[in-house]
Amino acid sequence: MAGAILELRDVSRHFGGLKAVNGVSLSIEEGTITSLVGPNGAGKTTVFNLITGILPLSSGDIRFDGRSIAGLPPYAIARRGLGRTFQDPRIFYEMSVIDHVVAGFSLRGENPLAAILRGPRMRHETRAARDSALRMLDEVGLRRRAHEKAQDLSFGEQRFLSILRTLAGDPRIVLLDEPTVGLDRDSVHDLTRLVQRMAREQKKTVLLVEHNLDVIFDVSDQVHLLVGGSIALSGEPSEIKRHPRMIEAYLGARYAALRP
Amino acid sequence: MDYFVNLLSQVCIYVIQVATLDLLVGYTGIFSFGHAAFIGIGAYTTALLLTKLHLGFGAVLLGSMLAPMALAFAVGLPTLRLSGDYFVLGTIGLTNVTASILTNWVAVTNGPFGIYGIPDISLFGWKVVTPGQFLAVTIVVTAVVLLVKHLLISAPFGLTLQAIREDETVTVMMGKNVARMRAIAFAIAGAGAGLSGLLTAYNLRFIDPTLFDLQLVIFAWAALFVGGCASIVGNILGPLILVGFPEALRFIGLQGGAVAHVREILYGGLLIVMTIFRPQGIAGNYRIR
Repeated sequence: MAGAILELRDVSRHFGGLKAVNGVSLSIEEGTITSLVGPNGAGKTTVFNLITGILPLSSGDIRFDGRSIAGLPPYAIARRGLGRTFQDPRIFYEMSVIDHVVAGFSLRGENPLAAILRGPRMRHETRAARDSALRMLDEVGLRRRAHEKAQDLSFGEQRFLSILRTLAGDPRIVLLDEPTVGLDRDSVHDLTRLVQRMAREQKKTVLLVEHNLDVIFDVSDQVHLLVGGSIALSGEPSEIKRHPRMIEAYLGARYAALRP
Repeated sequence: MDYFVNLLSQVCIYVIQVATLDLLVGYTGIFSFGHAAFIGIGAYTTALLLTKLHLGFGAVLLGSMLAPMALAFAVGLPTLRLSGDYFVLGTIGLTNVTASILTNWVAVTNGPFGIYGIPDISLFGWKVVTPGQFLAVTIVVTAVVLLVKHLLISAPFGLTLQAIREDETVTVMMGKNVARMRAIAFAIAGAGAGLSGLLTAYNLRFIDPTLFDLQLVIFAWAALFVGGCASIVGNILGPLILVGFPEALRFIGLQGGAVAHVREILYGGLLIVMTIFRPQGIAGNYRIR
């Protein structure tokens, strides 16, 4: 399909006899926001782990930018331009806030020889990364806390920091695993805006696993409902919203039957 | 006076060992007990290149770093995949196997009899003869090691190591080749440890395999903990205290056969008090969880 940046072709993952993900095919257009929804245990996070290479595929193929990434080591997949966050912020407790973001960049100074020699290019690049990191922190209101340890941030701030850390690597597609879990209303609003900015202004593709239906229907271009490891329903938010299968998946079959 | 100068040289050698161990433990989260192997290989490379091949200081210096570095890289790539406890056991094995090879490969290492007659350092015709001169050389080498370590950890290289220490999976997802970075850190620490082996060989003029057993690793870990992880000040303070404390006890007027025992008790007591009241060490920036 033209314009598809990420394509899953009949992807399956079995754990023994359990089919955690079973024949999932989906295609994600560049620059769009796609949501993966479904009840707990539907296989959403497993799909993320398959895409990022943390888990090997049992069968099927995953193509990123037209080339297969199945079987590549996770760091190589990430380097092609695929970033992800986790359900927990998983911040680096002992690291300062700004260092988090700087560590997300891919820098010449990560080479030990370049680190020792301190050439002008390496120093310039490192300084530029710190400046960019400060600008990014400014956008989410964390600039004044740049030099504190990350463990002193609130849970919500840690969540934003974990997203910035991923964005620092300038990924083309960002996988966000339940980014609004544990956030208060204001933070959810800020996060929604951040995700929309990522797609609209920075032209990033976003794949979202989310339980907050308001957020999903607010930001998504495409929604896929995952039930029991398979895609039960796909479509635009307006189509999905009142679909009986969606209601059934979230509220149970009896409730779905009551609805017109 | 020479005694104290010698003691100070010894402290510097320990500082190198602790600082390079800290690169692994404090920065990368690699809990290695294989340090004695790298120190021993460095010392034996030095001794062999000097007594068998009669090479100059420059070549010996290079060899004493490259040999343990190669070993660290070769051992590191497969074993660094082991998780936690298994890696610790693997590296204890590395130290023991290396000591065993040094003891039993008699044709090369002269086995348990060790290698005698290691000459003085000779640099551009300047011979390092007195303990004071040796201390000067040792201080310079130690300072260079600490400077290189500072350059490494203050650069993005150090940030990536710390990220690996904190959360490997997240670091992989940031596009970092974690396995390779860990192997590189292991190799760099091995090279630095080799330098302390070089100084040990020159200092003692005689080395044997018992110098490089697990006890040396335990001492380095103890010094690292007392001084504190992820801190160059801590790397210096740790060995200084662990060497200086027992020495200071000589002067408190203890007499007779009890002295040695009292020293051991106070020494052990110091370690216990430290772990209870200051687990991050005196100047530590990072506390192992």
